[in-house]
Amino acid sequence: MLVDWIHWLSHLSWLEVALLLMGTMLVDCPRYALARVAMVTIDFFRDLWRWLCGQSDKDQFDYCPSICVILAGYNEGDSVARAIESLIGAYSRLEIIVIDDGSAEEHSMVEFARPYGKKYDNILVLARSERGGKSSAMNFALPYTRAEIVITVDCDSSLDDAALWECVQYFKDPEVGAVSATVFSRNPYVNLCTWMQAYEYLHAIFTGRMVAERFGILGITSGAFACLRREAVERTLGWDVGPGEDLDLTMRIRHLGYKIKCAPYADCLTDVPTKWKQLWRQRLRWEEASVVRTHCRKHIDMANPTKASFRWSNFFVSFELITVNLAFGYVILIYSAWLCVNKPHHALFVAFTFYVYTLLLEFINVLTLTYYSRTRLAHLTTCLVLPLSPFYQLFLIANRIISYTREIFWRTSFKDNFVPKHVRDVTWKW
Amino acid sequence: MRQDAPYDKQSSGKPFVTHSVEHLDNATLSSDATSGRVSLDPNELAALCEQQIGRRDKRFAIERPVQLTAVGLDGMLDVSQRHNGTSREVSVRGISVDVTHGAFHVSQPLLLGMHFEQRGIQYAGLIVRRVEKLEDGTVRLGSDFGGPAADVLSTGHLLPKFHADQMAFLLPQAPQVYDNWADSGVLQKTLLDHVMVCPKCAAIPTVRNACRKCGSGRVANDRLIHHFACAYVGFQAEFETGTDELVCPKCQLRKLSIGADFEYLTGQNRCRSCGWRDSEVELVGHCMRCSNRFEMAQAREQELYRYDVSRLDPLAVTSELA
Repeated sequence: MLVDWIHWLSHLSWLEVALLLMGTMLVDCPRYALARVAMVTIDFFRDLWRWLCGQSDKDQFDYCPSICVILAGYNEGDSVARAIESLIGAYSRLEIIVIDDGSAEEHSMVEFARPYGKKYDNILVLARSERGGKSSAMNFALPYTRAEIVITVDCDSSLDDAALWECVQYFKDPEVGAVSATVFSRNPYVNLCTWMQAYEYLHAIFTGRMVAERFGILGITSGAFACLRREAVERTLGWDVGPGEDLDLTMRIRHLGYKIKCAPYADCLTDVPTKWKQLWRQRLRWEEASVVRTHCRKHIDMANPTKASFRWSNFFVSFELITVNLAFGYVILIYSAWLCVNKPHHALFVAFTFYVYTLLLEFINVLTLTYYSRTRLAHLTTCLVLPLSPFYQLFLIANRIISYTREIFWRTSFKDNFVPKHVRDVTWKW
Repeated sequence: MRQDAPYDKQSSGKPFVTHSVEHLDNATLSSDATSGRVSLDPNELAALCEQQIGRRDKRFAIERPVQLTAVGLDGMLDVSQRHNGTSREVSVRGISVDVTHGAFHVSQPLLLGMHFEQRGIQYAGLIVRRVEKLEDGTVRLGSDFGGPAADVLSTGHLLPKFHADQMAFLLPQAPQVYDNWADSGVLQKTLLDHVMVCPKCAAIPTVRNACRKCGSGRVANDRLIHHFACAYVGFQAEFETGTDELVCPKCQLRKLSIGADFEYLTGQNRCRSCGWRDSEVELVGHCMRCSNRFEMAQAREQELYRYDVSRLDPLAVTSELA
């Protein structure tokens, strides 16, 4: 089989190979490979220069603004205490606001959080009797804080010891409106499903956001751990109805002219789905709310040169996601169908060519990760699933195509149970 | 010798009180037609009282095992002074009992427990009126029903009552007395309720949601509005425009309807006395007697018990024997 493939490939001219891989060459190669190589090269020489000059590259935590961590959740009674414990003592000027979004009695967050509220003056526990959605739960906290930085943390997440210090340093620059922290899997080796997600998080969040930030096109802060300037959040008047409220707010902060930064070493560990079915549903929800709803509909004005809010960096944020995730997904689908119909005897060889090509790109990813990682052994262990990565990519592409199609034609994100019915019935439809 | 005194023929076994009232009505009361008042001749009244006191109720022979327990001055039962005996005669006012052991004296308060085959032991309080040593060495006690033991056993004395002057639930005797009687098997103790009382003086407090820091009840809630359409949450004042309608400050939607467009949320509590802000208020008690303020978590829990006794009813016993 391998010999047949090499034989088949050797009969193709360079032009034919280039044409075959044109889609990925044009989109993925610059995005994944060239950008990473450029970033690593620049950083390598910068670090080398610093080393030669004897400059320390250790972190300087010399900025200490007041921060407010918002822990908003629904039925998160089991995990809220752990999240609070991970925050207490982690930062000097810290306040925590826990919002129970109408949890059922058996999963009441108030029950677990209230003892902390009684014990610590800087912990405030608020609750409402009926569920109103995560966005309004987080907005509920805003009138009660005067902290300079607002940080949202999911209850099923826990922060690294220095994570808060890491991320607030970027706010020294008054133009920074939001900082995207790095989310890792807390349960990476439960099964193949969690392992693949751990691998994906390493590349999509850790290195992926570093690259996006370098090019000024970082347009998302994960809701699991997002750091926001309160002034910026108040100027946007808070989160809009979700799902995808974290992405939407980041775009609106960009819209106001703030910079979005990435804090690669502000680590947050979160539980990832352990079953493929759960993962499929989670990604459907994420994707439905992302490209079509947020970039193509709600914030399309940011990519429109005739609008006052137009900026090239904002344009590229939307352009990258619309072309890579949306358009390229459909192109792959159409191309695969065309190949199966017109050249069925070549389909397997073409697929294998793509597999090898994707592995090469992933390998560049791994090299980039190795350069920047501070826990190389653990991260490289996660990367052992590299040979399966192209299949996982196919899984995600299939998920994207379905979710985008559903959103384009049926606006399914507005029917998601993530938002309670009485809210999603009256919310603005984009 | 009271035991040899003739039975009262006139009363024919009727209760003393009924008979005497009848007698008074017929013989000693006269009505002043002009004033409408009832007048009584003092000399006649003195003669009548003497006659009545001297009169003896009808006695019935009754031979049952009894138990006599000494009652101390503090109302406690002295089980070391508990003696068995046999009843001899009973009337509605008193009973005579033969006991083989024990030292008794006149005016001594006792608790009588009388065994019945069907009803078990029934209790009554006694006061010893006469102690007589018989030829066979037995001591015969002539006793009236009553005394401190009867007070403890009386109907209204076995339930805790709320005393407004003390602002507390109290029993007529000290709680130790009832426990002592319950431990001796005379009273049956039943838990009625738990009430929270002042940790200092055990009086009843008033309870309020109050500031956790200073205990003041002058605590007000923030009222916020959650606008469903845009998820904005803000203080009610932000939505008010001076007219009747509410306007969302985020999306500028007008004429918001409660339930359909927005909901009210309860936010933080603010203490108007000390400025403390917190989402939670504390249940704070204020003692109605000593004015002590305390967190209800520190309140003392008072257990209220009722006590039951199988009471000996002399009237019922004599009626059965008649």
